[in-house]
Amino acid sequence: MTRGEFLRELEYLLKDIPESDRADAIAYYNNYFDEAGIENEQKVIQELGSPEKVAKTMGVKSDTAKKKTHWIIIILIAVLTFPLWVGIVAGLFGGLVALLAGVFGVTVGIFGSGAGLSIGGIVCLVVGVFRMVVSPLEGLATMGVGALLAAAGLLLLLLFAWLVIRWIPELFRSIVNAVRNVRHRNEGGNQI
Amino acid sequence: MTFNTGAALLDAIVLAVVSKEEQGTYGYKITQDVRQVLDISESTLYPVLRRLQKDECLEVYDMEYAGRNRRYYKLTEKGAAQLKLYEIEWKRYSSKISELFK
Repeated sequence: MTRGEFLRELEYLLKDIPESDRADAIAYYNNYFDEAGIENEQKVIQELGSPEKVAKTMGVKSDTAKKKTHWIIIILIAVLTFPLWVGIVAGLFGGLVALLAGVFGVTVGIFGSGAGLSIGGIVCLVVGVFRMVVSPLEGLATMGVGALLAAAGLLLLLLFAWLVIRWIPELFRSIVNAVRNVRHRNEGGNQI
Repeated sequence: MTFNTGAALLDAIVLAVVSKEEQGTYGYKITQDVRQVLDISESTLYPVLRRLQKDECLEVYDMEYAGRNRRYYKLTEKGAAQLKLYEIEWKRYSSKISELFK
């Protein structure tokens, strides 16, 4: 660190004290470096310690101490406004549960319809084969309807399989990721 | 240093050091002089000087020296009176302690 850097940093750290006090302190240390001479510049910097240490002698809290009080204030506000945000949090949680339940319901519905249509279609096909004996026209129509039903049912079952294999794990993953991200951001913030 | 130097004693020492120079003296020299007697960090003295200045025990003036401004500290009347008080107090205090050690 050079003298210039030291003084600049000190000036920055003293930004919250009155202008006249700050100017006086900077003038003093500027003078101090002058008197010590260039040859002693590093020695003086070492002796003074750091700009933070010098700022502290002037009753200026270090940034970490400030941040600590900031966090205390944030936590205090969070606790005091609990009645306000508890509703929002509960609402968000409820929304999430509803979304999952909705996805679950739709999935089950697709499976049910698919299975029903497939079974119905197959039964129609089988019945149609027997009906052919009695009335070929009726039997053919029944078989045709059965084939259509079975095809629609199989399509729905395929859609169900695709949902279960591809979509739902994706959804879960994104929800888990979102929750984890929020938590990580909070943890990161706490560490500062 | 075994013994702590309280704020009052530090004030007294700084006033004494400044009073040695009729024309006043400057921050760097005050620090070096005080460090002859006390093991203090270089950053300790500025707040003391600033406080004594605000309490009107010291006055400040700038004078040109070697092509730049040098800030001098000089004892005021109030500072001189305060130093006198400190001297009396110190004599009383130190003689009592010395007596105890005899």
